[in-house]
Amino acid sequence: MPVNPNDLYDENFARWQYFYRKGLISRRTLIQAALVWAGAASLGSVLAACRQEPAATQAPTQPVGAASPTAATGAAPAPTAAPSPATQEGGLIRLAFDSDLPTMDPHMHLLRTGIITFYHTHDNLGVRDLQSLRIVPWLAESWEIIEPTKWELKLRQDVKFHNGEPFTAETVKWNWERVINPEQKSPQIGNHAAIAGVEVIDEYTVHVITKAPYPIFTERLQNFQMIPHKLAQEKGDAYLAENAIGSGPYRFVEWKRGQEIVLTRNDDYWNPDVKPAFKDFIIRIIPGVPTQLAELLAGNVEIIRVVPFDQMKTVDASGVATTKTQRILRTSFIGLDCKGRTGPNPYQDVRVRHAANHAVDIEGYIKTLQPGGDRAPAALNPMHFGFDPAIEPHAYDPDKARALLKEAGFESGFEARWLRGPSSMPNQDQVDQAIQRDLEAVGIRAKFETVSDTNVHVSMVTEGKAGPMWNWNWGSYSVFDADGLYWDMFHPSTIYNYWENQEFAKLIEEARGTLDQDLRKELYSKAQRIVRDEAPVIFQWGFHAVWGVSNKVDWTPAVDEIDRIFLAKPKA
Amino acid sequence: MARYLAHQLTQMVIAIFGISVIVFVITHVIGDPTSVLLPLDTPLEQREEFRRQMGFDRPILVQYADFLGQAIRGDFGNSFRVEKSALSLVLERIPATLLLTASATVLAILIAIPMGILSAYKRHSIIDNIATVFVVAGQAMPIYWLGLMLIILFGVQLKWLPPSGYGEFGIDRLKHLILPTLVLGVFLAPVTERLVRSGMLDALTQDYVRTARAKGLRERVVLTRHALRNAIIPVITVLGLQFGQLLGGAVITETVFAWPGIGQLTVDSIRNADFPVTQAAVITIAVMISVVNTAIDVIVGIIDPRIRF
Repeated sequence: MPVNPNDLYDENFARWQYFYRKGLISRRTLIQAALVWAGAASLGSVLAACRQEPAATQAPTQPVGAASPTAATGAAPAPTAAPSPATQEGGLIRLAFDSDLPTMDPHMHLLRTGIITFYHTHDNLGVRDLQSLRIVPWLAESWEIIEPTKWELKLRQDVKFHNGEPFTAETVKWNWERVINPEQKSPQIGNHAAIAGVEVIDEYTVHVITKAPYPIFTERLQNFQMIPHKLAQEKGDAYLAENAIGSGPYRFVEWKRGQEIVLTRNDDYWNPDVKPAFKDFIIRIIPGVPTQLAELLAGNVEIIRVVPFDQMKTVDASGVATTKTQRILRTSFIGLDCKGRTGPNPYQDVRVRHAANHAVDIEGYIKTLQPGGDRAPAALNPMHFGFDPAIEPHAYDPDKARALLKEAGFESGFEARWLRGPSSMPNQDQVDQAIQRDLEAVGIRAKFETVSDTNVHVSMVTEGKAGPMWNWNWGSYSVFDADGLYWDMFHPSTIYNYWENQEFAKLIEEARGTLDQDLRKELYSKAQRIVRDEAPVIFQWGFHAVWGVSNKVDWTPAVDEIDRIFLAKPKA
Repeated sequence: MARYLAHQLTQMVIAIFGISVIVFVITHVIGDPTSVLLPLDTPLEQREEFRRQMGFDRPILVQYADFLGQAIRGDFGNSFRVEKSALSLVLERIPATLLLTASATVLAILIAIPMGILSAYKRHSIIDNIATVFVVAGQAMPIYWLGLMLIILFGVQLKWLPPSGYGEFGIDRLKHLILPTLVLGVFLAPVTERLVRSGMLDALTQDYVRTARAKGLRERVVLTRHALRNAIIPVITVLGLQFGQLLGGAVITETVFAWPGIGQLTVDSIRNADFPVTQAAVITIAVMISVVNTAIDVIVGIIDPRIRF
């Protein structure tokens, strides 16, 4: 038992004080007693801290009335022995996150880290095929458009959740209705705003009704995890917030808040083609990138999700780990205040916007300051459906930039604030400084105003205070469709909009309202030409992200930034 | 003493009230939490409705009065991100922070007192010079940098100690504790060592020390029982004042070493605009600092009866 400082005070120290006041002991003796008391109290605190785990949520291993530990809750029993630290077959693999998850409920977050975690503990109706980049059936065996606003989903009949509950049409209906219910306050409600309702046709068939023809319906089938609805109804939201019970290839074991999430292989997984090579999978919460790097090089984690550009050589030369670069959907640009939301500014003139685009050497930055990158001549990433490769990017031409500025009446240039916030762009500071230098060479004197907090940066952008220049990037919520970026960034109804063009808005509205993919391609092509000609931003590129992977593990990161650890294998 | 404690308590309440105002205002001006709590593509009307539901649309004074009324009852509201009370999230992190700060304080004392005594006793000797180098280095090295250097040396190169994390209860946790304790201890020790040294230098020239020596007492007794006891008073007071800095240092140390304490929680809550947790954490830290300083004053009064409040 740890020493309770209060007990010590009451029973011992107070007595010593009493003796002192009565003159029975000297002051020296009292001080000695005080020191002993203080030491014991400190020791007590230390012992208490050593004993106390900060809020570990461990899956109950023997629920009341359960025949087996996994039958009622689906959670896996905690491992009885420490998993093998080596990464041999059946061993342990560890992935580092920079921050903890807020919840174990897959419907109550919006985080990439949550998507990754729940991709292992839960299943989705559809998943992305990493070759074609299209969404393919998973828990839904097939789908069909039976009316412009009605999709029929046929479901797999052999799926059971970790608690033994079967996956049925009722499960799908309950999950969708939960997310679109405003009272649930799911942060994902916006992803499913187009869904009007779900009808159960039979035990393994549902009809999903959309409010209008919804061409990116299948994109929404990924990152929408199915929860066993009977368990949810029985145990409630508070239980779901602490226990990740799904049907995925890994079972939830334990969540030590701020420290780690422990998962173990689901040996009864319904899909025999997916058998994780590593029996135990631990997600470690390590806030700083330098510390993550140290842990990777020390062999204490196998995969980290970010390796800074200037550390790539160190990792590759370590002999312990290697960097892996992957193109991802996240695309960057420098926003320009074309509408004057923040106040009148030179970028309200399209000639100035073109001048800024001609002033910057995008190819040069990609080649020298980035681990790679895909040019985005009209803001779209080449991986977005609808991307038109025929659109020519702005050429690096400082003379042309100067001429355009002169034509616009800014022969002697101008000064503009550039709001910079935290960014996931590799090597961002160096890139921004290079752009600043190139802009200055033609007369655009961009003055950095840097905010270190993402919230402040996002708030300033959404509240119209970011102009006339700000850095920005967009992951399109992993929707590999032009809609995922164009609508959010440039449709007049959104809070990010600093440029309006009615013709463009009509084109993307039409593309959102039709299921004819050829027509959509055509519409987005036209939209891209408008964006290219109007240059509402300084166009940059689609990121190439860098992971650090232990040399003991054979694993490749995915384009959608969802780390599929169940595909990792130990190296021979 | 009772009057003094009442006085201290009043001051503490005023200070915490002031801190509550500052933390409330700052958390409300750094950004709109709806941009974090809602999907980025949430329509403006839904955003406004959410602001209304959460009460963010009310005048800041009304919001503050509401907050204060609940905070007095220990209710800081629920975390915006986690379906738990903000205070419970803070309280569950306190043991980890206490473990770290207590061990760092013990280490700092173990370094500073012997070094300060020796440094004063052997003034201008090689020992004194080494101590001076330690003090300058300890003050000059940023916590973040020192932490990373120790991680690279002991965690990555030598592989003697785990680079980060909290570890399992027992030996494993002690191993995880060593590096962050070293960093925080080295941060705290130099100031303490200088105070011990200057206090001892002063005490060693006093008449009572000369008298003690004239009585033929052993030098160890003269140093520890006569000189040190007088020199230690300001050290204890400063240790109390340093507690606030120590918690500030713990914020960085916990982040570098992935130590799941209140510092890491505070940083996380600020990043995520989780106002209730930030407010609960800052006010809890303020209360801890006030209590420690009051306790230090009481201890000083007991050690040196000449001090009366």
